[in-house]
Amino acid sequence: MNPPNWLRAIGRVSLWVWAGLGLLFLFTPILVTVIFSFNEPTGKYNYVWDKFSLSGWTDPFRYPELTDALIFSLKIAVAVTIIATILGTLMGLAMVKYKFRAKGMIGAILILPLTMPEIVLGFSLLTLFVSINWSRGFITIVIAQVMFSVSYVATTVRARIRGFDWRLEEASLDLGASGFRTFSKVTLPLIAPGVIAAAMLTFALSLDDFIITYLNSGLDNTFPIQIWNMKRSKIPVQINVFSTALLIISIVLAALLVVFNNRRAQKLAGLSNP
Amino acid sequence: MTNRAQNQTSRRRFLGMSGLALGGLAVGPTLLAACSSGSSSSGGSSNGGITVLNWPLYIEGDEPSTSATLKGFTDSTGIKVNYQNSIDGNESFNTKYQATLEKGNGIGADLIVLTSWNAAAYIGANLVQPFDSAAFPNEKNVISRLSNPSWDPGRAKSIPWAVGQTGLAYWPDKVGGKITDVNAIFDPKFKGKVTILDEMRDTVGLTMLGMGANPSTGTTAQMLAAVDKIEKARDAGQFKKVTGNSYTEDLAIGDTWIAVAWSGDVAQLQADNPGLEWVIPSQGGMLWVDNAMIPVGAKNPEGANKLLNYVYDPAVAGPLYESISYIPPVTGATQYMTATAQASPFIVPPATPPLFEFDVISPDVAEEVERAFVAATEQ
Amino acid sequence: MTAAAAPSRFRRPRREDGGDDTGVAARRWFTPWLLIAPGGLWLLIFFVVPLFSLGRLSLQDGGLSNYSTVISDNSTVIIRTFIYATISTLAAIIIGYPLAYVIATKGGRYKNLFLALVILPFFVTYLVRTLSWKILLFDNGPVVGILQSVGILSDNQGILGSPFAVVAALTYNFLPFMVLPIYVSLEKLDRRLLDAAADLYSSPARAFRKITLRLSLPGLFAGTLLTFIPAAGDFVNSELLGSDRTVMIGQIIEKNFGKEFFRPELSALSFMLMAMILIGVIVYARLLGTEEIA
Repeated sequence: MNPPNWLRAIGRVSLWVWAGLGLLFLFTPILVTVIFSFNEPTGKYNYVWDKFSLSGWTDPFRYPELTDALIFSLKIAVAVTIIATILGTLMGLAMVKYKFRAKGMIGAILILPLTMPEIVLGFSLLTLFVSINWSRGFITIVIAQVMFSVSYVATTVRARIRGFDWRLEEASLDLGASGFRTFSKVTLPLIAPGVIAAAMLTFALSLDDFIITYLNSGLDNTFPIQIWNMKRSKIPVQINVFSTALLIISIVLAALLVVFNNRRAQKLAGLSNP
Repeated sequence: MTNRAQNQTSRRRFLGMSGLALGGLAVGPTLLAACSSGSSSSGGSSNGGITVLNWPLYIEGDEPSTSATLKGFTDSTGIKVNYQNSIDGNESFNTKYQATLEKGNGIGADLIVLTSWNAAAYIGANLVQPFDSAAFPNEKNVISRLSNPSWDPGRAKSIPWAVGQTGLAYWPDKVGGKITDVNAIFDPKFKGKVTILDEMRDTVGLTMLGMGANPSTGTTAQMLAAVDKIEKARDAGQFKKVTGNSYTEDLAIGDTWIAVAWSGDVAQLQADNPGLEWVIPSQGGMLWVDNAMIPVGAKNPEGANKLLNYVYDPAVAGPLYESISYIPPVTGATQYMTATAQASPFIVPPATPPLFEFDVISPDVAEEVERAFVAATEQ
Repeated sequence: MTAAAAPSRFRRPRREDGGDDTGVAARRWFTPWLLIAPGGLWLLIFFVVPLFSLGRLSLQDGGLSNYSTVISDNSTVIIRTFIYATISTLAAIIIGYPLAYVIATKGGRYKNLFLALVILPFFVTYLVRTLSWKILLFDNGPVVGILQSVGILSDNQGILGSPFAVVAALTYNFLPFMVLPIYVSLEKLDRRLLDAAADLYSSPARAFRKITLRLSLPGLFAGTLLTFIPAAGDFVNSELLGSDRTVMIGQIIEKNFGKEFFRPELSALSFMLMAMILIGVIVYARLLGTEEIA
């Protein structure tokens, strides 16, 4: 009944190879982006490799409008991530944990924003803002992005929580822990991976968003909009430089998170083995 | 109550309360902001500055911070210019701003630039304000061909900023020589290597010229016949793509052999790709105009008038239009250009082949032709 | 329960709890509502309310006939869009599930790092990523050159503009949306369940099917939703990497929404898209046995 060992070995190796290929697939254009940040194109467009050069890296702020746009995008992303993660996690928790009427309807409302093309979503929201004379800017962009991000967060958190054993919470309470302690020491750590994954996704989506942001923004440009405006006349190396820098910072932060988690796990393991 | 039940209640209450509190924290500030926001967004107007929304490539180097024109203007008048090259298309501009202007609210801009057919609609719907001839005397310098359109008699509310041509850009080594016939885009020899524009007036206009019709005076039937020809060619796989502004990438790299193209883009591309050829076909080409207007709700219309006045000085217009490679709409500007510029077909097109402006058609006709065009090119 | 009364997959007894067998009844009736309230209010004000104005727009200049006109005018594109979205979702499952599985089960201490790696491509803007793909896939570029010399492509063929390029790009762009939810539901899999299965002489394949796969269904479901739905409404991939042969619904709507006379029909088309996807999701949920929507 059980397959022979050599077949299982092949199966294991193939799995690793396939997963590795998947990761490679994900990273190929990223590699291109990074490599081309070291390019010095002869023309105004960074399409063809000309020669290796650090000119992009030594003069990254050459286009102040690009820098400003990136900073603007980052501010928006932070605000959106915080708000959407909180709202979405709470909704995800409620949807899985409790039975209540109208759950189906709420579930439907949660995925509906994802089913609409962005321009329609953005336009209808813009119509609302115009009708109440709410001028467009940072806040309207945040509102628009949170609106669709909540769905992503709730969906991801729900996938995490399903099958969660709520008796763990009850056990904690039985042992005399307060509600707050139970939540922070029992519930939160167990749903944390889902919440963190959802937060990272939201941050990246926010940086990326174009159409909804374009329609609901004022005169300040976000990073993607700035690139779009510029690309008719030039695609400067600085775009690649900024993208690569963001990548590096994200990798460093993620690595720090891993180290921190491992240290904590070690500490906890140490505590339970006197 | 038992200890456990008490804890459960307090836990649930905490959960619920914290949810509400966090939600309130999140929503509260945004609601406060809504109550206090005014009817128009900020512009560069409180310190006497102006905000300009324009298309890319309509200012020197497409870099407002180094533009000689803008610098000269600020030096001579003290008015700072917040120049944004953020207009990507008439339709996306309309989607974003039209509703706000229709309500009579400002959009934070003192100057906007739109193509003639769209400008005509904005003027008809009273979304822009008239110029102040006291602040803009140089308006009389506009070239005579464009000085009195039917949709804005006497240029009361609009003035050309960029005047461009639609023709063909091609790689001679790929197509095997020179091209002079507009119907080359329908030649099966180049199947799959031709791109046309999704801008109806440009593509249909050129096709009409190839069929012997005049786009400035043509009938609806002639327009629809041109659309039909385009549809048949497309079904046969003639076109690589029907594109918007993005045709330049494939053209630059040689994946596209012939493109229906705008003169300004080709001037840009030729700088980096000298082998690329530009031609106005023998049957004629299209002429289009992007017009500057002052929208309603502008915070500093006087400043806007002054900027236009500055640009319409031939001594300023000359170097500006030389730099951006467009036909100057200002009489006498060519005298302030170098000999090379005066010989450039992008800036001073030859008298033949002729250039045609697409007829200003009624909204109903426009809708009919647009619908047919979309059905022909997007299914 | 007798055999005759066993519920079928598609006919469910009416439930009072919202059609869902997960969750417990709350002690206080308002607790779940307190949790739902902030997010729900946000969606209500900034999504549901605008939806009504959109509905009004969709009925302008023609009423319900807008709906039938736009469907019949765009039937080719609608079908094509759903085919592309389905293929790219399947491809995302084929590529993404093993990836999520390896990270969740073999990742060890570096799980979070691998997870970050999966999301990392997203931190490079959509436009830049797609442009990078363009650089790689140009007709005169390296990839096409290799494929032509090996014979997979004939000398006149390229990749850009083909349905393959568009579907591959769709798969690429939504892969993290598939990997992440599958990962989060696999990661909490109790390894001892598999040990127990082995003890009971189950083959690894059977254990996988009955335990791992079954328990990861919520993640698979979520991942499918987060991939299929945006793929069906996508606009950029086909616009930048496709040709006019690969036009998707998103492009029709995005490109023409600026034409004022088109807006009622395009709004109607958006509602139809929304309805079709919703129906598809409900059917999918029933088939998988997960009873709630999303």
